[in-house]
Amino acid sequence: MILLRLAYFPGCSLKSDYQNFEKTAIEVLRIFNIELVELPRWNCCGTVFSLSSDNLMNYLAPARILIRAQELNKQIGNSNILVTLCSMCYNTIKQTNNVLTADENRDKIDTINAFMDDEVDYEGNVVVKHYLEILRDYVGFDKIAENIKRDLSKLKIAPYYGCLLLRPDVVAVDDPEQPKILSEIIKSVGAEPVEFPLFNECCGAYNTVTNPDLVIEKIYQILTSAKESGADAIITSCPLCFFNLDYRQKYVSQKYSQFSKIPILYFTQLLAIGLGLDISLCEFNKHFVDPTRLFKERRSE
Amino acid sequence: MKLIRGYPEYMRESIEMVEKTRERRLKEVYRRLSADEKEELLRKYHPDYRPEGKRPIKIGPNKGDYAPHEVVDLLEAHPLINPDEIDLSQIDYDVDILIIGGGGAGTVAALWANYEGIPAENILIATKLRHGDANSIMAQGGIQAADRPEDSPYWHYLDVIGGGHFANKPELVKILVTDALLIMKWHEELGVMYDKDDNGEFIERPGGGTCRNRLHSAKDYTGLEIFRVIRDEARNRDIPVLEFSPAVELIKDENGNIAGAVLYNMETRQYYVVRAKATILATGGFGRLHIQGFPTTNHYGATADGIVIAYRAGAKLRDMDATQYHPTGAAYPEQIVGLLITEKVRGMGAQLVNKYGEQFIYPLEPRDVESAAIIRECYELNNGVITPTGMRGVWLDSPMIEIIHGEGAIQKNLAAMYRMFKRFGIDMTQDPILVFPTLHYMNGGVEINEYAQTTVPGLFAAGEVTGGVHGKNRLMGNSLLDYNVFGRRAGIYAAKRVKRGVTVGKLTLQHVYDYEKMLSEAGIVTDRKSPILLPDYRGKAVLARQIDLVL
Amino acid sequence: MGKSKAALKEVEKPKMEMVTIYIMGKAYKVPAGLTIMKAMEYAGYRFIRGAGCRAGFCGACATIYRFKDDYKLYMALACQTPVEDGMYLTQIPFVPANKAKYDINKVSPTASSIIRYYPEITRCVSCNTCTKACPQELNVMDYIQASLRGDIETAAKLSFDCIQCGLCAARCPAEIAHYHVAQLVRRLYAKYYLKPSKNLEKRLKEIQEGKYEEMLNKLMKMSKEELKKLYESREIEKVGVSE
Repeated sequence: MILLRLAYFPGCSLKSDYQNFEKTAIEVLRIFNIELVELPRWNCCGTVFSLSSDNLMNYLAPARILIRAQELNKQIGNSNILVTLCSMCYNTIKQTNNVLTADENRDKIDTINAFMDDEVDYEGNVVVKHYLEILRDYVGFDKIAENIKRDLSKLKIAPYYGCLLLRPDVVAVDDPEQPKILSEIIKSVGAEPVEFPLFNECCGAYNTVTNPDLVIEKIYQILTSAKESGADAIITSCPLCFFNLDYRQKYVSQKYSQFSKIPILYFTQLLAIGLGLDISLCEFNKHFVDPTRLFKERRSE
Repeated sequence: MKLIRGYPEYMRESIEMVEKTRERRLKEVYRRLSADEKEELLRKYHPDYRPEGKRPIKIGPNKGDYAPHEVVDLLEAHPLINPDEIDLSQIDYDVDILIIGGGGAGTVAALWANYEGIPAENILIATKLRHGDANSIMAQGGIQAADRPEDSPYWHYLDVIGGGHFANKPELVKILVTDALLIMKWHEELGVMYDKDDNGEFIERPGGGTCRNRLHSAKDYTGLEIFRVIRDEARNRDIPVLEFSPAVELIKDENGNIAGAVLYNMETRQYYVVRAKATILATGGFGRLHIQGFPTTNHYGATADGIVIAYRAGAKLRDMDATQYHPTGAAYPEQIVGLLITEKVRGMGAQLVNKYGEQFIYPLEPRDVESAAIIRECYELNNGVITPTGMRGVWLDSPMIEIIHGEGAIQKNLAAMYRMFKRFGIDMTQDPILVFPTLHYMNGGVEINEYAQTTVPGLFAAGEVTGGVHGKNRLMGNSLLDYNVFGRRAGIYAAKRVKRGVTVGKLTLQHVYDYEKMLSEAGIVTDRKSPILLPDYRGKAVLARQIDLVL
Repeated sequence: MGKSKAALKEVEKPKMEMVTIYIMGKAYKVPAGLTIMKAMEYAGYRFIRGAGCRAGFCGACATIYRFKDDYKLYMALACQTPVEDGMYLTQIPFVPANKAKYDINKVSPTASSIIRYYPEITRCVSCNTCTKACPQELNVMDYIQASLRGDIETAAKLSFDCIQCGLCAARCPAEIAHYHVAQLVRRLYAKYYLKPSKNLEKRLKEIQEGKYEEMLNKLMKMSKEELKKLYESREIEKVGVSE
């Protein structure tokens, strides 16, 4: 029985190449009677928050998303929250929302509303949250721990935050220098969190397109650091980080012959497995480094 | 004049009568006419049977045959060009295959010639307007092919030949109904978005004169959808297209073969000499000649150019006395008079009713019978509605479709029609629409054989410009089929001709001089010139003060 | 019978209500109620560019206009739009737009395929100018967004009524050629998402095996009278449709 319905923005990646992130996320929340209601008719968020604050064009895409959330919330009536799953979408939409709700930006907001004469005005009431915050504030780590069905106690998992969940501070879901939220999740499923120094080091992001060598170097460092700290696997919350950390290992192996691969998981996949959902939901066959053996080897009675 | 939901107040009275009879009519099926009744109806009321509408051609391969005045005027006319002014020694385009006409037939021909091994750069499509400005894209309701188990090419054949009054060329009909299937397969592979059910089977409806439901459609944009895809394919294959460059005369060589054409760039006013080993004529129809003063469904450039230049080069025509009037052209509002309202509307259940709301003909008789019935109803029986501009029409009861197929059926399946009327404030899901026959299709044309060859060597033809496929009257959905089937054959056989080895002799326009001689010997004195290329709709006041200054 | 000629004649009776329109800035008095296309012809323009099907299917007559003292820009098809007093109009008979070349048999129906051929769709800022430009009132931005995330079915259906007039591409700040993207998407949808017809496959095989040869050849040789008899005695399938 659904107790809470929240407006939800998927973003482009989760509908094309990374559907497994979304599927596991939706099913996990359902266990706790929360339904993610996808916005009707949404558009790409624009991926990066525009730093040129006078080019209002770049605020249009996230502004439309906020208006969709605003209107959907009027229908489903529970709250004024918009949940996002992808860190980049979260960061872009939340930073835009900060601009569009600040009093000193009244003229910008009016301009945007006037330009988008095909939409109702954005009233400035939507609160953008990342899925992790919903887990922490609306479900609770204890609740998660109570519902764990599989024994993952032998797994050592490194929490990797990347950039966009923690920077800039106006959007940080946790303390940027000493975040705990991903470790809490790892603990709640009964696994052992492995802290490592490069937990918020940038993975290289879009440099993977124009300058892949940079990315290969960075993730070599990040992955090696995690492994040296004892991790069996690394969790992330961003499709681009996932791509870099997982797929780029192919090239790291080519460059560093001693490098041994390490599986990357979305935190929702870890939760899904811990909570007893069907492992096929995770679609591990889509990963470059297949994490399946982790759960076969380590599962004990 | 006050309008109520798009219609003048006085027309609302009649609409109310249509609404009153609707429930009863939903269960009524008007009886079909017998063969004799159809004959009589046509003889008395179909415009083709008016002797005042046509006259015999005085010269050329079809001397003595009857054709509408507007067509004979073009045949008995002087060439646009003065052959003395054309320098044939300088060849602007030297190709294997010249395709005259950038509509459906021309584009299909180009693709199949290319598939047959003719490199794209050796093909040239020359077209009068843009690539795609043709009647092909305006076809709405569907294309025929006998793929259902309950159907068969046998039934399709009978439908075609009966609809054509048994005047069709049998071998062409056989090809039409059998090649239909491979055309549909080709379209599937290309990615044409036909209406299909969840199992992948085509959704098929009846058409006028068909004994099986075999019209395949893509909403009511069937012609546009098919053409968009084949044009996309032609562009992917880099097939050269020369736009705004109609052919104004065919070129022959000293051996009597067609060897290309003189093209005229309408924007720069220069001519081009194209030499070709094979030429394919795909110039479409003649709606913009406004036969007998009728409005037309045709596109702006449908002026029978191909008939004119082929005739001058000695090609035989056939069935030029057979003009098709589509029964349901829009009759109101004035801005869209004559525009096509697809037969699919009737295929989905809408009935034709007079001003009293009563049926007067079975909605899916073959088009010529249907048109004649409407003309009789409006002019003989005076049961039509008269519009503020004096146009007469009968109602096509479109709201029946929503009742039969459920709310939203019109917006889903007849999106183009819904949009067209909505632009003028009329909601065809709520109110019936007014219709009257409109000039639609050239049933006859340049005669071809099963290899798409005309009677002149080196000249192939396909599509509406040809005659023989449809006899005296074409069925709905067979024109889209015609241009695909015979466009394909024209492309293949033109390619085969090229591959067999063709030597093009010395280029000549002697046939043009000879034609001038024929005109004078027959005593034809005129300042008419043809082909006319475009109709002239300029206001009379402007034309009265118009002079051509040298610029 | 020839009374239908009345339908063709331009309405040029005296005491006709006239309006003033501005064709590329020049004022002309034309009868009210004419479409923009017919009004331009009434004023003396003879189209070479800018007229095609004259019925709303081909996109040749794309027109943009404004009214005096009104900043709003309107887009329409000249053949389907009646003139209004004070219209300032021009036509856009051609829009330069690159069409990617591809072999449809080698393109996979995914977002990355579409982005590979039309990478500029990633520049879409969701300004919705394209939707406002569309004379067919299509949700253009929505179909571009659907294409961006690989939702081929939605993009194909939303873009279906597109007549490729080019106004969207002319107005787009991200320089996208929407209608070319849509053409690729629709072909992908029809080719990979719609199942092939089994009936068609079967019938094709039958034809190739010559199942209909004999009966068709027989029909070809029949006299008119024999054919007439067969034609008259055809059983007509119930008007219903195989849905």
